[in-house]
Amino acid sequence: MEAFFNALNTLVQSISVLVWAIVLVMIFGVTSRKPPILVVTAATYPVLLSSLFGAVRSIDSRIMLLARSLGAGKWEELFYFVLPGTIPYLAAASRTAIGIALRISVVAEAFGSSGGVGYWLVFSYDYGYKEGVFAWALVLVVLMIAVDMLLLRPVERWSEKWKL
Amino acid sequence: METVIVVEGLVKTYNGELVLDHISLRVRKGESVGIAGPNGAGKSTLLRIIAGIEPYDDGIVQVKGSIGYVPQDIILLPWRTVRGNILLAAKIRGIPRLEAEKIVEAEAPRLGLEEYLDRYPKEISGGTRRKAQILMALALKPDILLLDEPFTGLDSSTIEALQETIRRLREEYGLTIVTVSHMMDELTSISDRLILLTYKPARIKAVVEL
Ligand SMILES: Nc1ncnc2c1ncn2[C@@H]1O[C@H](COP(=O)(O)OP(=O)(O)OP(=O)(O)O)[C@@H](O)[C@H]1O
Ligand SMILES: [Mg+2]
Repeated sequence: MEAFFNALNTLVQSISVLVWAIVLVMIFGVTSRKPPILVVTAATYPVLLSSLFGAVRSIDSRIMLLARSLGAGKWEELFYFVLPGTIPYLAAASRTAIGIALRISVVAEAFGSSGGVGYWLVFSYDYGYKEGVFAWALVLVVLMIAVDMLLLRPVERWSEKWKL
Repeated sequence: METVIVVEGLVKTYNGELVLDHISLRVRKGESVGIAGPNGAGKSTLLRIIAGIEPYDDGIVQVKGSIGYVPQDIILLPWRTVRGNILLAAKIRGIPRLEAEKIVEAEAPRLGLEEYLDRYPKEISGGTRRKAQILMALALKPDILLLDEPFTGLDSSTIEALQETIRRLREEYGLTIVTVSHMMDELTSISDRLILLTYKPARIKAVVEL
């Protein structure tokens, strides 16, 4: 399972995000919503997945001992003992992943969509609206900082409690 | 009385090193047996095997009845309060919530745990965590209680309260208790029988009826 995902990761990551964006736009067309979503998924799931595996591996063996001594079934083990322990790791990874996602979705939008910050950035550039380029870039920066400060950091801090 | 724990010719090795060398013992229902031995003798290993959470190489281990196991290293889920931990354990064991709550209500004050029930494990002291783990085992309404170094890190008044609790539980419920410890005096005061282990490998050196 882990080996499979590692192989898939290598394949997806060895090809640049830009290439993926272009390939997907060619497949789905410019107006489709799919390229931005797919590119973002491709770019972020390795971060999330590898941290999920890392978290599951790092689960204290004593916790599994507790589960076993109580006679927990497989699902109970997963639901009560394994998954809650992965939350702080996933929260931290989500912060990284969402950062990547925002940056990359802009690239994907620039190539293949008819809306979004990325689209408007390139649109402004193409038509020589300097102010437009700066304005949209600013929107992007503010958006990323806001998401990080208002959502991701509090979630990460809250999830610390779940750590051993 | 009927025999509830049978260990016969138990052999356990770790990485080829012999740790338990043909250990044999029997515990009858309602008995309290203490097992003593130096650090690293294999007391915890023996208790884990009886608890059914550690594989062994050879011999026979038979246990009749449900087990409440208190490990030497306390393990509580950090994302649940003391009460939350106890109720989850009871739920997994199929103990009705009300029954588990009743045990918590009754026993927490005697162990001095009352004010810590709604705290997270990280927010309480090591001794309090050990008491929480003991209460957790009691809430499982076990037939057999396995205690690994239960007195470690407890102050003398808590040790007395715990000894009192153990004596009372035996009388009230006919609970069978196996306690492993290197604290001889404390062990002696709660045991009917003391089993002394040798060091590397562990064999039974002596059995003392008290
Ligand atoms: N998981 C393990 N892997 C390898 N060796 C182990 C493992 N657990 C215990 N041992 C070894 O088995 C021996 C017995 O350990 P055990 O913890 O049972 O001793 P103990 O009598 O409980 O000691 P203490 O009084 O310090 O608690 C020790 O030599 C220890 O190093
Ligand atoms: Mg030990």
